[in-house]
Amino acid sequence: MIRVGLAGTGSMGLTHAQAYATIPGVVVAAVLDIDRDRAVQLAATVGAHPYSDLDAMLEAEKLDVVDCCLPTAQHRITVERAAQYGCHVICEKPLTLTVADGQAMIAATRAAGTQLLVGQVVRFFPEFQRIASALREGRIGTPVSLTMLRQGSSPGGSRSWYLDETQSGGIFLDMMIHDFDWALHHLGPAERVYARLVQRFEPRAFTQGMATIRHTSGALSQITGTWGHPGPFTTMVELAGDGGLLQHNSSESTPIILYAETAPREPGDVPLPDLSVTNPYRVELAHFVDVLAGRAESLVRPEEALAALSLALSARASAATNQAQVVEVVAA
Amino acid sequence: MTAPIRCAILSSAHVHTAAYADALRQVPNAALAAIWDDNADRGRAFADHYNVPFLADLRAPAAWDEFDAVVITSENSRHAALCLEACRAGKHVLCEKPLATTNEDAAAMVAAADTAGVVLATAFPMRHSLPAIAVKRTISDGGIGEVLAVRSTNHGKMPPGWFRDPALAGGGAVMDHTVHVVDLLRWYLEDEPVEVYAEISNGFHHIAVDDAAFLTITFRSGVVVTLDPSWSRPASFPMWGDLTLEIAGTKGTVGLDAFGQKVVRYPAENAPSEWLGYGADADLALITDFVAAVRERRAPAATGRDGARALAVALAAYASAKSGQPEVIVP
Ligand SMILES: NC(=O)c1ccc[n+]([C@@H]2O[C@H](COP(=O)([O-])OP(=O)(O)OC[C@H]3O[C@@H](n4cnc5c(N)ncnc54)[C@H](O)[C@@H]3O)[C@@H](O)[C@H]2O)c1
Repeated sequence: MIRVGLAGTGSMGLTHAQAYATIPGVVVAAVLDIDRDRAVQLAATVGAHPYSDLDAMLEAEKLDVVDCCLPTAQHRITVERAAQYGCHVICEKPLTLTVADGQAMIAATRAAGTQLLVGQVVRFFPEFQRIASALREGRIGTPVSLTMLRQGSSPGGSRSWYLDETQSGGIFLDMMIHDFDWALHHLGPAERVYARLVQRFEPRAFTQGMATIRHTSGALSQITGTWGHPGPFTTMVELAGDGGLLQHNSSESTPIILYAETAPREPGDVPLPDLSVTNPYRVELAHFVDVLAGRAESLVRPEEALAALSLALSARASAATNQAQVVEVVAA
Repeated sequence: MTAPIRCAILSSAHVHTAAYADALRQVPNAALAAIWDDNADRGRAFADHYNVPFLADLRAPAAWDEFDAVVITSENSRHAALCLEACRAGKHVLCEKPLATTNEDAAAMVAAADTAGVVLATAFPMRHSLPAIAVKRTISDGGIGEVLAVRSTNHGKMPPGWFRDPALAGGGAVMDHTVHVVDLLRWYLEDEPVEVYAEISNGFHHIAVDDAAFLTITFRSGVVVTLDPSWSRPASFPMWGDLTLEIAGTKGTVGLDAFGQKVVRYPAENAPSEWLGYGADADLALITDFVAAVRERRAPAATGRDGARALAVALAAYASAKSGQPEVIVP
């Protein structure tokens, strides 16, 4: 039985806890949150021990893996401490806030001989996997251009740390990292990126990042992320090649349609896609459990999470300077 | 009863020629008077089909006596010479987009029309599309507040013939498809684009001009627009392409799928499905507006200056693709 210490009981901590409950061979043994009440509450639900201090948890529990669902600024310290205790780490995206931090995290887990599994969950969304397999099967020939869109409400309320660039990295690191990672994984390394950021807080919070990437292969990507979209959470991907075109739009792919008088969403909820038919977080975590049990190689290599971070940082720098940026190849 | 505005078509090189000829025959106070073409076989066939005289030689002074206005649907790089000749003869001009292939040509066309005191219109039918007009109204009524950002596409299939010849077309997908969206947004925002960044490639069809591109256009007000003008629709795509916008403002977001009024047809044989459009005919409205502008001596919906502004964005996009940095849009 793989023993998990779950760090963080916010939107991702709860999502991961629900997923673990359905995955055989894994148990949440400890729950950590700086907010003691939240830790106690989730620990009681899943039958684990609550903690409000990371070292105390690592000291007291014989954990196989720490699952870091803390705000991004806490990722590095959490991963390094876990590695010191010989634990594997599952870490939510983005890996961290700077390339140097990311390199340190990779070095720490390498030195400890433990796994660092980064939650680039879009790799595990079935629609994105279907596009990837069609690409592999040669159904569109050589890919030429990729368009990706991710739009949701603006995170706010208790999640206002998202809108603080020093805490979340801003929309390029926090939201668009999903698409940056997917684009790099499927179209190869980026040569340069040009990006723009539009942000307003009055009369409502609206943030849109727009990035254009030239890959070293010559393929082009254009990626848009929006916080403050008034419609439902939407993703769109279009991959065009010299032998065909693949499209997916979440608003046009709706296997179930429910109309009901439901309670309004809690303002400040973190925008998440519809998980009611397939839960990709469960698919991702089941895969990570397989990796830890020695049954699989990780689909997400730490170097890839670092490359996505590096691209996101270059995009952010481009938006800040209004100049295209060369994307440096970072050594892990 | 006033005499109809007699229009000649100068060249049938462009795929839109037939649509304009059909419209000229439907608009009440207009008439299709003649056709000239530098390709005599093509021109004669066209003239026969529409049962109008074929003009073999535009240089013959009498050739210009039989009409009041011209519709230029030649190859892009030949617009300017034809337009200048028409202006010299005192004829009004409706010119297919892009207005020209260089800023110098476009400026000369605008100046020639001003000097001659004739109407110079650029064929931007999207200004007459009913869904596009509804979006204009939504924005000017304050329906989405102040505009902040726009995502847009004007995709197409690979066009035939001279469209792939850099000398005649002046470029590829960027030249062909940037101007429609730019013109719509200049109209919507009542603002000018000042800077553009572009990445281009010819990866789809491996031809002499660009067929793939992503543009990022910044307006003076700070509105940022992303645009995909690529010829990326495969031959099997159910329509020729698309024109879509998603405009985000301080109070809301409005989306436009200009050709979204469509019925889907699935053929019995093993062949691709088709989208059968049922939107109102924007080409007819374009010709109607041009004829009214000539009659009333007023500006058409989209002028030569509008055409020149939109062209400047496409040209700056090519400059950006070359320099690898955003480029200021001139003029
Ligand atoms: N993969 C995805 O789709 C996805 C979606 C949302 C968030 N995320 C990522 O997951 C991470 C967590 O995001 P979230 O939405 O769950 O955040 P959240 O704000 O909902 O939850 C964070 C939790 O961590 C606790 N906390 C904060 N600082 C702490 C500390 N120093 N020690 C212990 N506990 C602390 C808070 O009390 C809170 O309960 C972020 O890195 C975010 O980018 C990923």
